[in-house]
Amino acid sequence: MKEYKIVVLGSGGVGKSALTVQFVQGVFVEAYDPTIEDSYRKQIEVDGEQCTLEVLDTAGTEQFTSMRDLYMKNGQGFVLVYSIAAQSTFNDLEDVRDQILRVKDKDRVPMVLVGNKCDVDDSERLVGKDQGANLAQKFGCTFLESSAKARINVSEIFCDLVQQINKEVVPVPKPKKRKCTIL
Amino acid sequence: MLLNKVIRVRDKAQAVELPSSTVTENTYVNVPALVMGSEEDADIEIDRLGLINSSSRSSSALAKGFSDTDSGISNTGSSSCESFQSDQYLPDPGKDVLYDDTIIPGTDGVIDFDDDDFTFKLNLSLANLGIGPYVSANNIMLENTAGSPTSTNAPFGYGQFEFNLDELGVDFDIVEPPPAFANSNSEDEKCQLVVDSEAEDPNEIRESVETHNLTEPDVIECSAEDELDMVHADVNGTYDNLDAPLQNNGKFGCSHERSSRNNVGNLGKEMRTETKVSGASGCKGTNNSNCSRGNSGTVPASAIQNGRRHNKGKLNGPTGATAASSSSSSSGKKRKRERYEIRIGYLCYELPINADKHVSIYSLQKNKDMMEDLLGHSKLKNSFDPQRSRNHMNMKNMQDPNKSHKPDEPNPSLPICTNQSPDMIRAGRILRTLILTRSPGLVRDRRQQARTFRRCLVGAEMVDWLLAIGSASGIVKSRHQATGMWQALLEEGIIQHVTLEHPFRDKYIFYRFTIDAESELQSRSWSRGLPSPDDEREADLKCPEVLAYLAQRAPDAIMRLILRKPSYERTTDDLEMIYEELLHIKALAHLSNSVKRELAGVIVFEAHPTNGTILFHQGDEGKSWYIILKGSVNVVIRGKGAVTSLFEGDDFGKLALVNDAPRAATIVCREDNCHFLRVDKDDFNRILRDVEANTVRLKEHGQDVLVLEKISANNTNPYSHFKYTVMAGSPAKMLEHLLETRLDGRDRSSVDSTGRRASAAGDTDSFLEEFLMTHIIFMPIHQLLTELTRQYPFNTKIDATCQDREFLLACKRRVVQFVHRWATTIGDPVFEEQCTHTFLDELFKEIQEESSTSGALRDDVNLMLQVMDMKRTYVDEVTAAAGQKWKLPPSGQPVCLFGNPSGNEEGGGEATRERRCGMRPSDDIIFRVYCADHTYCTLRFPLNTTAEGLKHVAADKLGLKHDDLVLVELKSSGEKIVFHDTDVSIPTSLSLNGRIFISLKDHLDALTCLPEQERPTEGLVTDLEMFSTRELAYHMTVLDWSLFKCVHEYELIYRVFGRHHFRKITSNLDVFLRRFNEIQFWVATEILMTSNLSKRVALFRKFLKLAAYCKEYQNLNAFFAIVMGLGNVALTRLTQTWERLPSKSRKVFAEFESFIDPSRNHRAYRMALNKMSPPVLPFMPLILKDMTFTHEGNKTFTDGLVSFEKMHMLAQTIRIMRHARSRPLNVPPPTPRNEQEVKAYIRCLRCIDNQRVLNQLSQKLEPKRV
Repeated sequence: MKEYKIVVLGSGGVGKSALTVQFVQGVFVEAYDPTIEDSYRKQIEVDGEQCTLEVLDTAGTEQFTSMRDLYMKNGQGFVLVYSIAAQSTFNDLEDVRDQILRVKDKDRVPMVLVGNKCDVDDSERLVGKDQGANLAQKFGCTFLESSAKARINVSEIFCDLVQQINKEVVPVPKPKKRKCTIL
Repeated sequence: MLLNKVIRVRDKAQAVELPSSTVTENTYVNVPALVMGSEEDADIEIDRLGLINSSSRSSSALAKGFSDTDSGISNTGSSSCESFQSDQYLPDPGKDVLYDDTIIPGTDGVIDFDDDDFTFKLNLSLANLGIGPYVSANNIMLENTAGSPTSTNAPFGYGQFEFNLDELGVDFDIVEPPPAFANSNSEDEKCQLVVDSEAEDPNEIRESVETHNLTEPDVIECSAEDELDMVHADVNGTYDNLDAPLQNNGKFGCSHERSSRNNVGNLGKEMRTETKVSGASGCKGTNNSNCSRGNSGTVPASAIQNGRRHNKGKLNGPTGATAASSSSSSSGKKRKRERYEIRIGYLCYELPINADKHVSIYSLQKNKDMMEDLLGHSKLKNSFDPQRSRNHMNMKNMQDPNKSHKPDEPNPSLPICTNQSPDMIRAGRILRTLILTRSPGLVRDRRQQARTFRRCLVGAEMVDWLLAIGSASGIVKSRHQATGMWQALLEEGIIQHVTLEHPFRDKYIFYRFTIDAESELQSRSWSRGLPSPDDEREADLKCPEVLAYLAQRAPDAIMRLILRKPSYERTTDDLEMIYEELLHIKALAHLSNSVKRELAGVIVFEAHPTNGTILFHQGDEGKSWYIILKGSVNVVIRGKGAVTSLFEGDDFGKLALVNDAPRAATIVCREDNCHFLRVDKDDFNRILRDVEANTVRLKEHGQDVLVLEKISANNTNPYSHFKYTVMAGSPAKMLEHLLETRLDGRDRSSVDSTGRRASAAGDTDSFLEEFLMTHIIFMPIHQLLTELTRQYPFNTKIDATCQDREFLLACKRRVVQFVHRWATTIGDPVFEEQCTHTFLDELFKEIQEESSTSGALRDDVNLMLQVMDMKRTYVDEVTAAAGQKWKLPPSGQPVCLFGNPSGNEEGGGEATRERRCGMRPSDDIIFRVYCADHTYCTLRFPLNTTAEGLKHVAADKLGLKHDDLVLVELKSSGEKIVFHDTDVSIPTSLSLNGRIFISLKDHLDALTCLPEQERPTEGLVTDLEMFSTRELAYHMTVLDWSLFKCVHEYELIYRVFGRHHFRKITSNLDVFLRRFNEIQFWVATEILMTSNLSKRVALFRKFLKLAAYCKEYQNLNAFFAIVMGLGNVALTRLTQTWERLPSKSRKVFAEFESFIDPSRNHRAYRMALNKMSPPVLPFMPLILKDMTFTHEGNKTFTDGLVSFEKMHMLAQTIRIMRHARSRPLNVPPPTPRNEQEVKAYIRCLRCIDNQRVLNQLSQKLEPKRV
């Protein structure tokens, strides 16, 4: 079975953890113990194929940028989360994306931009849907608005990422480059 | 004349043969072997008599036969039948058909059946218990009375014997004692005649016996025969032999002198012997006692059951049988007959007698109360000689555990209510009227066992009658149904068994209408109860209606009847019926069918007719589990009153059984006529304990207040005896549960090893600790104190006479123990609140007073003294540290100790002083607040000042006059974090190079970093190569440890749940977490600031070594920080550096990276951590992450209850920290080379925390190749 590591990123308070817990735990109201090995793993079926997802979520450790970097390094797909009720969380994401590209040393990575808390009243919405869509276009990634609370678009985010990762043409490692270095 | 009778009794299990030699014409042997719970009738053959052979016979036929008094042979039958059938202890006449047959009159000439006085007595009591059959030596003895008196050559059997009473002139029962008592050595055989007496002292009995010594041979004391509770022993005999002192027979290990009835009865049957003693003719007594006719007399050891205290007197002398036989002579048919009841329990007192023949007379008592007492006495069960039991096949039934009676054995013959319902009264009246008008013959005075029962009916006839009148209308379809209908009446006390000892049975058993019984007592007049013509008309009219009503009630009545049977009496059909009933019971719905089948055998019905009946008290030992069938109960808790009510379908009482804990509440019937199903503890444990539902919910006021879940078997802590763990609950109830179950309320000075074990078990249970570690989340300290105050019976003076003394003392002890555990587990935060001080002072005073006045609670005073000491230490420390200041230097280095008024700072301004408690909320901190234009003011405030407070002062100082100001942290990366107005410990929460800014809310975006934020922090610039790596690692670890130690576990909670909720500072945690970032950025900064490639490589290797040392010191926090620092993207892109790195170093780095690999939830790290023993410095960010996800992934409250499962998980994580610090850091310092410099250096690390700047540096060092 294929395994995917998905990194959930975003500022503190955007509801990353809720999204992750919602995805991993589903509708069951059982207690969620985050200290066990499978706490962040879930099997899903994407395009008729079973796969295991491991979610690396930095919630609670936002102040440790190195933790974020560590997760980035390990991840294959990225969920960039902002809260539609907090503009600053939206603004922070460009830096995050830059960092991802830097860490991954790529121009493009499987990524989904998520405007979370879409269940809030319109009066509380500070980041418009179009803003999100524009940013996603700029990033060249999928855009979704979700709500962990109302269980909107939660699994869609992860399915989309898996599809993106699958589509990603794995470039053959360039031995050439290495050779050059040696030279 | 020997008749050579052979009596064989066969039943399913047993067959007994009496050798013909043992049977004589004078010996009428009752062979009651067949009562083995078998429903089958026994076949009895009595050879050579030709008189009797019987097999299955219907009870109605019997009844008919017996009622016929005219025919010759049936006269015999009637006579015997009366006596047998009527006896309460007799088994069902229907199945015990032998009774009328096994008594074989030898010749009519010997036994005069015409004489009303003559009664055959057949005592089947032991047989009924499954003790019989027996072959008694007594039989032989009696047989031998004609010839030479010999002692028995056969061992004493059990059971009872019938004598030819006519010849003996006496009729009574002789029953041998059970084996342990009856000594088979005939010479030592004892005769026990135990007589209830009011007298307390055996001597008194003796006296009374003696004073009642009568000389009239044939005069017998008489007493009211109808008075069931009255018992008279009447022994016709001489008392010359009453020379041996009465003595308590200890053979049964009987310790119940005063209530020897206890000993009577593990047999569990109520029995009564009616003994008639009179002079009789034709006795061939060979009694070698020296009694003579002249001095034979009666001993009216009248034993009136008086409350619950009884003494059994022991008569030393010939017992009735032998005495009577010796004295019997001439009275013949003119003997005066009186009836006496002897209530005898064997084993109470024994009388050695001179007679060769030793018999014991015993009977079991009927009194229900007594039975309960004695049934609870288990010694008796063990007292039977096991060898005996092997010799006597039926004995095994005695010891059959199924037959052992439990306390509170329900009795199906008693009514289940005190007030009859109007419907039932009417039904009863109408049926009675119908019977009296249509079939008056049914109601007659009947004689049974020499007692006359007035106006009674025979069960079987009643069924016949009901069937007859009911079948026409199609209402009554079967005998079974009719039985149920009568039982329904019996249940409500409309009809009753004549001696209240049977439920309704379709048998030859006497019943009567209760009103007849009452009227009998009031007046002997028949007429009173006779129906009037009006009644007759009504009865005719309402008959179908009443029958329909009864028919409707019948099934339940039958069910209850079955449910009130002891389990061993339940037949397969019964069990099937119960099982089907259980399928509909909600409380059992979750159980598997096989469990329900098992339950069917043991579940019993219990009715409580009166409102206010208490089923059990709080604090009692748990004995049963209950399900409410009908009615409701109140759950009452001391100090709280009725907390909730439970209704039909609810169950209760489980918890105390499963947890072996005392009852948590008192259960009181809330209405009349409450019906329950009950499963007793042993059965519960056997059947249900392992399959019982996982969840127990306690309710108060209709709401769940406590939810307990069974600890899964594979998860059970072997040291904990708790089977349930708290899953959720209201804060107050959880505290209450905690105090009740987790703290030992007993007086420890008087508690032996068991008490210690209990408290040890309490220690291994984590509930208390978890509660203490997390209560601030759901129960702030002031609320906890309020609740403790409620739990502690303040102002309740406990004097020695106080009924609740133990309970109150236990309450007090528990609170004191709780407070002690609280203070020792949590420490400083306990004392931070002023209200704690007040509470503690009050509690201490109270305890001291209590101790000095009552002498109790001495241990608890000591505990309180410890707590008070801790409090004093805390206060002293706070006072000493008053005015302690911390500084947040503008360069953003970690806070340093700035000043200490006590001035005892060591080491030239260096803060090496043990920082035992870190920063306190009241400590001042000095810091700057900047404006958008980079002007600033310097402020000094206590750490617990809120952001709002700071904002106002800063705005004031900086001359900003806007309302819309916010306090914000501006990180060096440009990221802005706005502080809540209620946030505290702001300055310590800053990121490494962050600054506090004050700004208009709308102008936040315009804020720009100070130039200094872009630069590295002002660390010491030193060539790291100068320092020994080991020394560096050591001092880093020492510093980290001192920071780590200052972090209180609560700070994690404050941080994860939001410190603004608690208004508590998280400064110590902040500082420790900052240290992680500091190290991590320091590593990156140092390498990126080294422009020389080879130096860079060397530095890289040094950091690798440093990481290795940190790991060795178990400073995993620093280890992670270093490895993560080395993995910074600004470093990983330095390909030249990497390539120069020796492959060994690269391998080491790869190894380290795999250690910090986050895959599978940081599996590698978690596994390693588990293997480490303290002291450890754990990877702090992961603890934060775990706490965060526990918090985010679980609700704190569900349905208004605190989810303690969440608290448990939080506590688990907190415990990692607690465990890590459970031992002091004790690593040997490396050889000091430049100790002071190293110490100074590691306190002030140079770092750039702006990734962009780092990246730029990296670019500059090794520009990206194109």
